Amino acid sequence: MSRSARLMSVFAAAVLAAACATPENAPSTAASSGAVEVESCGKRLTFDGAPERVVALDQSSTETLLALGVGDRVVGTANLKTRVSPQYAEAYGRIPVLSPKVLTAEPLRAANPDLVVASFKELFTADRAGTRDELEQLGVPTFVSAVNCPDGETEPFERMFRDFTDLGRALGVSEQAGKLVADQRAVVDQARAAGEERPAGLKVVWVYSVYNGIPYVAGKSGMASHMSALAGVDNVFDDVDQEWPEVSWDEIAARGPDVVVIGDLSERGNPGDSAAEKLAMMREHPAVSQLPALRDGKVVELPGIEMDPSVRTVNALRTFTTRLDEITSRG
Amino acid sequence: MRIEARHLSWGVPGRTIVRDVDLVVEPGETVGLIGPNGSGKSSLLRCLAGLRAPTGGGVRYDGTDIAGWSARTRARHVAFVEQTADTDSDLTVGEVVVLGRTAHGSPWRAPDATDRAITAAALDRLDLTGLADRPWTRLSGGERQRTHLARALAQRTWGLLLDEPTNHLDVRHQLELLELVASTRQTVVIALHDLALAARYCDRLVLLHGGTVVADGSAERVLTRELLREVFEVDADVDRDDAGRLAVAYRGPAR
Amino acid sequence: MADRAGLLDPAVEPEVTPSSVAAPGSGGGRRVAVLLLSLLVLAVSLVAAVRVGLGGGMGWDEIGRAVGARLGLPVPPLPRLADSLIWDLRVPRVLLAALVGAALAVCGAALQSVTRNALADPYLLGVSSGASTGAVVVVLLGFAGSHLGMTGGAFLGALVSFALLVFLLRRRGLDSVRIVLTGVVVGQLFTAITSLILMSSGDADSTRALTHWLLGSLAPARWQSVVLCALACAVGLLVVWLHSPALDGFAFGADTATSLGVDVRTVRMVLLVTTSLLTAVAVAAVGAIGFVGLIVPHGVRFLVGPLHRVLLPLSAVVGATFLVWTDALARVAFAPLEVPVGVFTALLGVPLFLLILRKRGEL
Repeated sequence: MSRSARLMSVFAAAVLAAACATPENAPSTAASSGAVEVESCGKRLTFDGAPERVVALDQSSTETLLALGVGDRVVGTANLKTRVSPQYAEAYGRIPVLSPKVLTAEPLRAANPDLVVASFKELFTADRAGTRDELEQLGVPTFVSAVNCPDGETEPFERMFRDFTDLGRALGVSEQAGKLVADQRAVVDQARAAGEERPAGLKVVWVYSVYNGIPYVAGKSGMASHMSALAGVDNVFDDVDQEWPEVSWDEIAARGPDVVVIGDLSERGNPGDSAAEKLAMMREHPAVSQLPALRDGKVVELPGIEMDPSVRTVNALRTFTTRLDEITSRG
Repeated sequence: MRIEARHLSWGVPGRTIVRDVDLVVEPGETVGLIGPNGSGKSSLLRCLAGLRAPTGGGVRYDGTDIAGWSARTRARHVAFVEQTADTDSDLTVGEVVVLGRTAHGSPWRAPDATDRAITAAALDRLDLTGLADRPWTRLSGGERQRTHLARALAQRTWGLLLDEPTNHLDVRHQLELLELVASTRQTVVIALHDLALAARYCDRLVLLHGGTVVADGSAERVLTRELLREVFEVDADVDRDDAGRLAVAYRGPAR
Repeated sequence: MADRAGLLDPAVEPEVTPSSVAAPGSGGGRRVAVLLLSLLVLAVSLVAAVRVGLGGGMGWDEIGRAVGARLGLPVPPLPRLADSLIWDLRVPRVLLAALVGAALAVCGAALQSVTRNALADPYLLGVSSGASTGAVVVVLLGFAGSHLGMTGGAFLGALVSFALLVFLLRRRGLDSVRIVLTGVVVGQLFTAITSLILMSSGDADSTRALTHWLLGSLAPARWQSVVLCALACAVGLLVVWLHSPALDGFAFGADTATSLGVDVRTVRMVLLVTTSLLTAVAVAAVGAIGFVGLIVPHGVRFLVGPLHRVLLPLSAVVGATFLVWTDALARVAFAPLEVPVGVFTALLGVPLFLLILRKRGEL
């Protein structure tokens, strides 16, 4: 075991010990010795002891917590979009679903959490889970993914890794968190290396979903764009500063992407959600069907859920770069 | 109360409807306003009631110009009954009549005992007491008309301006209404279609044509054969019957 | 008889002896009874609704403890979050439902009279569309996290749309048809602007945040909004109620109303401003909840008649009770999912409305 890992384990043990002596909802305003402080999207969270009753407001947060191995401390989850990744299915099965969709304030408070984790700050409005200020006044720390609060310089994956690290510290599982980060960082580094090797100028469009016949693609501010940059390709809609802007098929065709990435949302089950349906729609469109990308089958299918920032995103990255390698080697 | 119109004109953009009308109604007089459709009777009545701001000239009550009076003050001086005032609302006859008390007392207060007594009296006068709780939607045209009249009476004003109140009434009620109007001490200007009834019950007739007063005076002076032909475009004989009442015998449309 | 004639003679001072009063409208006693009974029902509903929507395995015991603690009674205190659930969420929510229900019902009744249109509702003047635009702008500018931000934005949007309405109506007078048409135009305009903004930003999350709001929801109810609404209602409902005689006078149109002594233009303006402000406050707090303002006045008229002196207070109470129960239903019918309350006001309101139409013989 490395020295830093040893230090972290000792630290984690100390934190855990302190946790047993701490009352449930003690609001912490000052950091006492042994307390863990985490900064999350503009709020400073102080933990005198590791939280025992965590509520996750969305699927991504839930899976992060499961990946950190604290599933037995999660007392509620909400807003599940797809099936949980099979490796966590058993642990997930033991967690009460507080709401199949967005969780509102009443059931959240009824669950008596001592930590609430979410991927977007928009989940903390008065008509949803309640504002972060309110929950702070009740002594409940609210953790929002750093991916949702860009600081202008840290890369999305790094922000995600910071989430893992911060949550790991708060929950007293820094070792597990460290391992997770290391594993995932390796994938990112590998993708980056492959990207540097790749001939420049390859254009990619990410079609996430189609609603009412209108396509939603990846813009600049999202994992998809970041993954494109890592892989050394250009996201054709990087000029649009949104995460999933609504565009038109004509515009997609006009931008002449060399590779088309399609998100598969079959589990959501709405019309047009499956990759096959999206592909069919593109094949029928007069301009899009003429794209070399479609004619030559330069299409990458990824689970839509993995395009959103979560523990699974590295899977998407891995698949993406692998397929790109195949495509570029084919020529 | 004396009602006066001096050089009264009114119209809408592009059209003058009441043209330089001079009219004096002495206190207690009952003046019949006659004329064919479109002659401006309704508009003139509305101007006299202060419901329209004249574009020229003015209206005076007892010598005072009413321009600038509040609706409340006007409502204490004259009561007005439109030709057709209908509603989807299910007010009962009693409730409509008590509306006549709106201008009296404070604007926010509910009807008191005096108001209710006056309402009862008005209902009685118009033979509506039995219908006091009948909702509007279940009234006949005539009953509705009488309800509005009762409402006007309940206002206890010195002036009464009535726009063809006899339209839907059966003969008995027409005659009863006209007797009421003629015998009251109030100053009344009443628009009528029936020339004979107008002649019989009004102290004076005013004949309107194209927005101007064509004749103003006793029934004999106004209901002449020539005027009837010119204004109403009918051929008619006007005579006194045995009892001395003016009778109009229509021969046919003027050729 | 002479006595009676004297009553109608403007020259004679009316002398009213108690015996001469026949009192048409002896239904007054019945109306007061109905009002008192409905107040009782509302009071019971408020208490019951707190319990009905309560989750987390809590019941009357916990409610008693939460309330008792505030009253200074010696009750064992609840854990912090449970206490907050009852006192910070449940109670304000029920109270806000009552206040908004009352406001919407009274505004609907007043507008139905002012515009002489049986289909008028509080959103006729486009206020809710303006509020939606305001909320959308705030969300998209990024202030959505602050609840005051969205409420404030919605209120400002409502004011802007109302200002536009007044501006468009300024010249040719406030007759009922013009009010309706202009209101529709303003409403459509702001709806279009809202759609345009939503489309051009296309941020999936913000859109989702707004959808729930646009459908109306009592979930954001907190003591702050309760106090604001209570103040607005206290003033607004009183102002409207004091105009009851004028509202009755509108029944036969502007000319008859004027001849009765009603200053039609001023009263219409006062009522438009008051109802718009009251509706704006309600919509800013909870979004646009439909059907209450349209249906409750009709139902109440069916019970006690159209005189506004009784119609307005009773509409307020019935509207309050109606919304309290539909919100409770929205909370529990598909628990833990929260159905937008507008769904239930429609589901309950439409059959009730059809029933009333049938009883009136119009179906």
